[in-house]
Amino acid sequence: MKNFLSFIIILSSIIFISSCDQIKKMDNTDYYVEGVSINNNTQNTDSVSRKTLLIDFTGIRCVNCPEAHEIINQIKTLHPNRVVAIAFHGTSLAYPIAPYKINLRTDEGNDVISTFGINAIPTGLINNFDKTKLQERQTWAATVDTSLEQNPSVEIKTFYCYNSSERELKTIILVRALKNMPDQNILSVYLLEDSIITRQATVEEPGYIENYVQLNVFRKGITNVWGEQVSGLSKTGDVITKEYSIILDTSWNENNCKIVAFLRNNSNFVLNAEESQYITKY
Amino acid sequence: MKSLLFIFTVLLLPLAMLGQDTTTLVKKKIPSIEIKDIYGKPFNTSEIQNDGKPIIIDFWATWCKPCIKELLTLDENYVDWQDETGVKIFIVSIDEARSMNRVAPFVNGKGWDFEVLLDPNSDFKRAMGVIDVPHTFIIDGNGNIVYEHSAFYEGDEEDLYEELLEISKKEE
Amino acid sequence: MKKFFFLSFFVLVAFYAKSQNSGNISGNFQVIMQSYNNDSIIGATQPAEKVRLNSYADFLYTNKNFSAGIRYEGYFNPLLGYNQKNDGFGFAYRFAQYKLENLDITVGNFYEQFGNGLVLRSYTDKYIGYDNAFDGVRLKYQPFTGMYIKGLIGTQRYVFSKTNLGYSQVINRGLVRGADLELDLNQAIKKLNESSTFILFGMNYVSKYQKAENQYVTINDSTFTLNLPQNTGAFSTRLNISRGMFGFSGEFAYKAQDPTAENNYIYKPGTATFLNFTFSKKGIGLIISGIRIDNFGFRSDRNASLSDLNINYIPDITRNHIYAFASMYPFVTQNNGEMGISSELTFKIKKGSKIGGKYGIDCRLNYSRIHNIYQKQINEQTPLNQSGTDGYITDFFNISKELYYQDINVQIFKKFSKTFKMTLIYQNEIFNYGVLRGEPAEPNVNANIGIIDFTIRLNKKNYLRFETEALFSEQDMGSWLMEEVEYTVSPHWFFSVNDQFNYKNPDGKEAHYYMGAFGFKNNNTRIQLSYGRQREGVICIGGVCRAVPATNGFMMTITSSF
Repeated sequence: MKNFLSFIIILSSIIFISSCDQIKKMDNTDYYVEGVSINNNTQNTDSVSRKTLLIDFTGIRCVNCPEAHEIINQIKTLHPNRVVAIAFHGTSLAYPIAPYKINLRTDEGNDVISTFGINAIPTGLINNFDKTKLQERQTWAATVDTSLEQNPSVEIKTFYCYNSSERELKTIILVRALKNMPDQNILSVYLLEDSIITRQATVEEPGYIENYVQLNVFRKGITNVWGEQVSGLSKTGDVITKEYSIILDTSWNENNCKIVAFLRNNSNFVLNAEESQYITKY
Repeated sequence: MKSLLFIFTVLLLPLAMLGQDTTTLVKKKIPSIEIKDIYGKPFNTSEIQNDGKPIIIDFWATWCKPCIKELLTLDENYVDWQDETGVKIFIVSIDEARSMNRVAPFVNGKGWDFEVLLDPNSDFKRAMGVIDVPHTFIIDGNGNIVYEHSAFYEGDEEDLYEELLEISKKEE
Repeated sequence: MKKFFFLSFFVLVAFYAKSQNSGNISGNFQVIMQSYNNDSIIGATQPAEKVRLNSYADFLYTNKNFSAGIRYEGYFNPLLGYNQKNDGFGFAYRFAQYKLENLDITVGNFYEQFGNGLVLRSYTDKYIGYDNAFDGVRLKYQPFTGMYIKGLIGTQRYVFSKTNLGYSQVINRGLVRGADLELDLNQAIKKLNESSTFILFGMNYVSKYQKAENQYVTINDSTFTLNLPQNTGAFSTRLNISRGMFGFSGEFAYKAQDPTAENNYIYKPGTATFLNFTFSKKGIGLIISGIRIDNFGFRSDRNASLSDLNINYIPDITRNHIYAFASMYPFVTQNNGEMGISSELTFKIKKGSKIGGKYGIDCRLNYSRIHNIYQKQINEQTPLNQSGTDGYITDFFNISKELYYQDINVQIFKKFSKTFKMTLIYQNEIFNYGVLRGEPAEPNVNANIGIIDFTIRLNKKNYLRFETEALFSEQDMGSWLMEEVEYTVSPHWFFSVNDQFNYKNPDGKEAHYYMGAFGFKNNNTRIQLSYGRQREGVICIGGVCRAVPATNGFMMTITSSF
C-alpha cells in the first residue's frame, strides 16, 4: 500500500513539474505579435455591426486612471469604429482640489457612481449598466474582443442639428430592431466632450501630467442618465425614433462635443451603442 | 431584516445545542494538528501533554498588545502556579513567516519559561475555534478543554488562577 | 435553497453527533456593525444604507479521524473600507478532512503554507479583509519518519458574491497545483537523532495555469497583442539550522516568466531571498533578517491586483507596531521589488539588579531599512518596466538608492511595583509615501514618535491605564497628539475614551478624532460598542494592508465561540 502510494505521488509530481510553459525561453520578438489574434473582422462596412459600450469611471486625481485611458486607446486603435467609450468622472478622486482646478464631476455621474457603490477607480463596465458587472481595466481588452463577435440585435443611428447662436443641440435617435426581442428596453442618450485639458495624476514621477487630454467626458444626459423606457421594438424591422433638445453650457467646447446613445434591455445588458461625429461637423 | 434573521438563526444553533446534553460539548479535546515547535520542526498538537496535570494553552502574537500583557502576568506567576498545580503553559504564536525566526529571540529576550509552539498559518487556531488573540484555554489532566477565555484585561490572571486551582483540585 | 440544505444538514449532523457521544461540534461567530454619519471636517461620508454589517459564522465537526466544517458569511452590505465586491450571504467555505495512518486528505476549501510562504501561502485575516482560500483537494503524506509531503490542486477564492453564483466570480480562473517536501533531518537520519544540531530542509514547486486572453501593448505608437504564457512555475528551497543559542533560516525562490498587470507585463523571471539569523538565550534575543524580492508577485489571475488572488506571501521583516501612532505609517510589502534588512534586540535587565529593580526591565531595540532593488534599463531605447520586454536588468548585490522605509525604535517596559507599571517608546520613521501609498507626488514622511503608557492597579479587579502618544512630522497630515484613558474591571468590563488630535496640519485642517468605547466579555463572548471619529489610514498585518476610510459613527462588534 505504502509503495503504491509513493509511486502515485512521484508520478503525479513528475507530470505536473512538466506542466510549465516557460522552460523554453521566449525570444524577444515572441513576447508580442502584430494585431489581434482573436476576432479579425473589425471592419464591417456592409451589414450593421455590433458596437461595444465601454464605461470608464475615472478621476483627475486617480493615479491609475491614465493607464485605463491608455487601454481604451489601445482597444479603439485595434477595433476602429467598434467601441464607444464614456468617461464618468467621480468619487473623491475627481474632486477638484488645487492645483487640480477643473471640475469634471456631474450630479448625474455622481448618482450613477454612488448607486453602483463605486469607491475605487478606475473601474469599468463593458456592455452592461449594472454594478455587479464592474470590471477592472486589465480585463477590458479581452472582454471587448469577445463582445465584438456578437451579432447585434438592434441598429442605432444618431442625427443632430446644432444652432451655435443659441447653443441648442437637437438630436433624433433612430433604433431599428434586427430580430424579434422583448418589447421593453431602455434608451440612454448622453452628451460627451473630448479633448478637455486638465492636470491628471499618474503613477510615474513626478506624479502628475500638466496638460493631459481627457476624452469621452460625460457632460450631461440628453435623456436621464438612467435612460428612459422605450417600447415598440418587438419584431424585426420595428423602428422607433426619439427627438431631444438640449442647450450646451457655455463652458463646453461644442467643436469637441459628441452624442452617444445606447440601448439596454431590462437585465441592463447593452444591446448596441452608437457615437456621433462632433456636433459642429456634418 | 435579512441581517437580523441571520443573527437570530446563527444564535439559535449554539443555544439549541447548549440546551441539550452539555457534557458532550464540554468534553472537547485538543484536535490533532500539525504545527511547529520553536525550532521550526513539525510538532503534532496531540503531543501537548503534562502527565495528567493541567495545561494552559495561550494563543498570542508578537504584535498583539493584550497578549503580551497576559503573558507578562503569566510569567510573573508561573513559578507559584507550577508549585501549586503543576501546570505547564504552552504559548502558541500565530505570527507569520517570521515565527520560525522572530518568536524565539522575543521569548528569550523577555526571559519567559513557557513551552513555545508556532502556528504560522493559523491551522491550530482555526481548529480550536479561535477568532482573536489572546485566547486562552485550560486543559485538565484527561486532555479535556475545560475552560477558555478570550481577550485580556488587567486582573484577569486572578480569574484564570482560580479556575486553575479548581481544576487541579478536581484531579486530586 | 442551497444554504438551507447546508444549514439543516449541519444541524442534523450536530444532533447525530451528540447521540453518538463521540463526535464534537464547535464553532464561532462574529458580527461587526457600523453606522456612518457625514462629517466634512474629517472627510467621512454616509452610504445610502447608513448602517452596514459584516458577519461570519464557522462550524466545525470532528469525529475521530474525520472532520468537516462550513463557514457562513453575510454582508449586509460590506463595511466601508472592506472589499465591496463581497456581497450577499451564504456558505463561503466548506471542507471535509479525513486522516488515515500517514495520509491526510482534505476536499473542499483549505488554507495552506509551504515553508515561509514565499511561493505558496493561503490564509485568512478578517481585519485586513484577506482570504485567498483554495478550493480543491489537498493531500498530506508522511512516507517515512521525518519526511513530510504535501500536494494540492485547486482554484482560489476571489470574493464571496451571492449574485455571481457563489464565490467564483473571477471570469477566467487560474488553476494552481503544488507540492512541498519537508525533511526533518534529525528524525529522518538515525545518526542525527540525538544531535543537538537541528536541521530542517524543505523544497516546493508550484505551477499555475490560466488561459491567455488578449492584452495589448503599445510600443513606439503601434499596438500589439502580448504573447502570454499560460503555465507559470515557481519553486523554492529552504533550510533551517539551529544549534544551542544560534539559529539560521533561509529560503530562496525562483519564478518563471509571469507577465501580469502587477509587473506591467514584463517577461523577466523573479527571485525571492529571505534570510534570518538568530541568537537567543534566556534573557537576551537577537534577530537579523534580510530580504530581497525581485519581481515576485505570484497570483492565480494575471489581471489581479491589490490583495486579490495571491498565491504567495512576501514576509514583512519590519516590526508590526502595536500602538496607534507607531503604526500610522506601516510598511507595505512590495511584490515588484524590495531589498532590506531588519534587526531586533530584546533583553531583560535582571530582577534584583540595581537598575532592574524588583521586577526587572524589558528592553527592545529595533532597526529596519528597506530600499528598492537595483534596476538598469535593458538597452537605451527601452524604458524600465516596458510591457512586452524583459523589464529591467538587476544585480543581486547592488541596491537602489531609493529608500522605501526606515524605522528605528526603542521600547522599555518596567513594572515599578504591584500598583504601577509603565512602557516608554521612542520611534523615528522615514516613510516613502509615494511608493507605499501609491501617490508619487507626495514627499517622504519623516516622523518622530513618543509614547508613554502606564497602568495603575486600584485593587485586585480594577485597573486604570493612561496612554499618551505624540507624532511630530511636517508631511502628510502633520503632527498629532493622543490621550487615552482606559478603565477595566476584571474579568468583564472595560471603558475607554480616546482623542487623537491633529494639532498641526499643513492644510490648516486641525481636527479632534475622539472615540469612546466600552465592552463586556465573559469566557466565550465579547461585545464591544464604540462611538466617535476614525481617522483615515491603513491597517496592515504582515505587510498586507487595507485602507481605512475616515468614518464617524457607532461601531459594534460581537464575537462568540462555542
